[in-house]
Amino acid sequence: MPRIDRKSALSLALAALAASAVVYSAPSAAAPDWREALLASAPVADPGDIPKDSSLWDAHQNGKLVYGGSKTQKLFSIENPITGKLEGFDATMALLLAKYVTGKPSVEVKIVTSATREALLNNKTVQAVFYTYSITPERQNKVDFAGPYLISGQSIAVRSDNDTIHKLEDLANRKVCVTKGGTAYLTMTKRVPSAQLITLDSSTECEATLRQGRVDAEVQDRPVLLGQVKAGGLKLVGDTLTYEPYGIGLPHNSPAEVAFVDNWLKLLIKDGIWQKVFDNTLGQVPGAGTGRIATPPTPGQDLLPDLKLN
Amino acid sequence: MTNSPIDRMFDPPGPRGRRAIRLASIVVIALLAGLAWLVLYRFGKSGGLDRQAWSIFESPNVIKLLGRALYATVRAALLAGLLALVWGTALALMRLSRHRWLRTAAAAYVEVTRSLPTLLVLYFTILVLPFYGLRLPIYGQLVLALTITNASMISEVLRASMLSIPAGQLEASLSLGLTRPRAFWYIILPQGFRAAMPALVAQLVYLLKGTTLGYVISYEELLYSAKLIGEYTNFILQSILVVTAVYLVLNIILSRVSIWIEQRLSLRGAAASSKGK
Amino acid sequence: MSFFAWPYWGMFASGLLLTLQVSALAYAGALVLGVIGVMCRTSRILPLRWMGTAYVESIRNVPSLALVFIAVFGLPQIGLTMPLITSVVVMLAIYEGAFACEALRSGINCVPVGSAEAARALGLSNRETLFYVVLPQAARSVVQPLTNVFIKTVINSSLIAIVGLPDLTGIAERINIREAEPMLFFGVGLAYVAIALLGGLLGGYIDRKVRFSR
Repeated sequence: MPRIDRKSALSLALAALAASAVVYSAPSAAAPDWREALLASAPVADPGDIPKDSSLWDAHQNGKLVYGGSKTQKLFSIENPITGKLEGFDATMALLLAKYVTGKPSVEVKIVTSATREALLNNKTVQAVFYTYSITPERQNKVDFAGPYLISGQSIAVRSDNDTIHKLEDLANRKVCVTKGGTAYLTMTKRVPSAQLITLDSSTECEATLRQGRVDAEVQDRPVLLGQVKAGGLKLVGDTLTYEPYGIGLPHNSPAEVAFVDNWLKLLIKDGIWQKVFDNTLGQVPGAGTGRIATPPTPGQDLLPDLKLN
Repeated sequence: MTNSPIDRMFDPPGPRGRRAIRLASIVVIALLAGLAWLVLYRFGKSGGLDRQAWSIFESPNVIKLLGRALYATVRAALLAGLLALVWGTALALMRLSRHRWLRTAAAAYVEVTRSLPTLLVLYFTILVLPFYGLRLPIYGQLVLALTITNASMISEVLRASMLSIPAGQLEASLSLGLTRPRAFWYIILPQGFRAAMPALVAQLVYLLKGTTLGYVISYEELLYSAKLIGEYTNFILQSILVVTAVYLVLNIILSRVSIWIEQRLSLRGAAASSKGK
Repeated sequence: MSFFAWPYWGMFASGLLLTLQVSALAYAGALVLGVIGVMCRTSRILPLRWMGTAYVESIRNVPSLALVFIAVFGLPQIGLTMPLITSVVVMLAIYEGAFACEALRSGINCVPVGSAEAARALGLSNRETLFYVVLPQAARSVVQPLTNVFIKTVINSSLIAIVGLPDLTGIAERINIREAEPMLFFGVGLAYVAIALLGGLLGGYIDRKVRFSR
């Protein structure tokens, strides 16, 4: 029997304390009911329409859609640790696509990063990518895009008491936070190279550094910033800096699939489903319900972004 | 009083000395308490102690999520530990071999990988290997990176402990007719393992801490789960603190177990050697 | 493309510089904390002993990456707003300080107790015993572990790449995300091995100097 000394007793007490936190449970948040209803009434494709020999046909055969996404993107695809389900605009669109292709909204998410998403798409590890994936000509050389399914753009957020930053040029020589692998990083390095950048993993981490005073500004997609501003203490400055259409990543050289998914998107927009998804995710953020982002895009057109890098 | 020369240096304190020590103790305790209060106060003022920030941990589903993450952490550490042990033992034996080419090859590998950060090896497996066709699952990438760097550390530990075994053991076994490989395998290696036990458990603690690198590749271990929870609640720091506490408890328990194992082994060893007399 | 026209020399050099700066500063801090820690752990004032032991035990059992995150997101919440690099260096110093403290403590405990007792018996005062008998002997067995702590500091400094700082590991990642440059990894690995080897050589040199033979 090992000798129980003071340190072991302390560690056992700590463990017991942690365990006792499980004793009473807070009521778990209900899964979004709007989503259940929406998915129940979502369209399902005629199997004859699905392009054979494509990754979506594989999804149809397997009865579930395997897609590359994220679990940590606020408002777009974030895991609710209490329910274990993914919530957000991208996550819901993926569920809708799964229902369309397989008849039921069953998905499997593989976490991708900016480094891996093209490769995983092209070697069929994932059948599609929903990752706030901005369409760029460079990326179009590696994968195909369906959509756009959302028009976004970058903006600048600062602390409420900041009076010195009003537009992008004011960020010269200031400390700015951006996320790794995003288009904001490109914007800052190309247009304001003198800014001192801090690159972190996620927008929430950038928000934390902004609130704590480590950085003077954050450059990020506008809807995400609007969500952060909602909690108070921050404000948006300047106009939307770029025009960035988000697309659904599909394997390279698969025009039939692109056309198929574009048709589905047009169907969603026509039936008002796109609007319902928007209203219940991004639309919940005050200020996001107006402007370019709130208008349904035209899939198949306006594919190229304008990052204003020159 | 421990057996340290510093302790033996001082004369036992007389009454004035004892009073001085007691006074100093009270001052130190007061200072520490004041510092702790200041930290907590500041933390609370900035909203860190709000109920909202911690309430997510009351949900049993979240506790289950942490439990799954703990399992993933331990699983990765154990597999990497096992592989590193096997590979490390092979390396140690290679370094003690009679053949010079084996010795230098193993020595070169060990010296290089000992100085490399595990993070660098991990980035290599996720960014470069896929270009040459080697795309491992996330779990495999983490285990591979951990194995590569930890095997060399284990090999050094084992080599040192095997070298510390009295030379007479090897001579005796050779003179009894055992071939050199057999002598190592049956006589030297087991004793080396026994002597290296505390260091090997320390290596396991190091591995457990190393699994946090899974954060980078979204392997759902404890630290990544802290990020998941923090992203949802917006309170990143709180979830990291909780997870840090879990690591602390886990590793302290592991260290105590290691001390216990060491005591049991030394007792058994002493009993065996006295039986042999 | 010739070896010298490799376009990444600039980034490589700046990454190397950052790694060296962070490691050197953190190591210096770790030595200071290690000395303070040893003084605490061998003090006759019991609360100091507990504090020293608590410091070492808790820091050694916690992953360094978790500490880095606590430094980045936690320190400003208790009012310590420093530049990112400073907070990371401080945290790294605190982490390695625990190991330095253990190295120093084991060095001191390796000194035969009889030396100290004999010195006192011969009439040397506490301070004289410490400075002329105990510490010189301790210094002999302390250099090797402290060199190891330095190498560990250099290795752990790679973690700052996760919070986006462009040290050696950070630039290797950053460049390889955009285009495959395996050569960069070998270069970076070579740099780390070179730093470790040089550190080891320096440690060995100091060890020989300190190891005066009777």
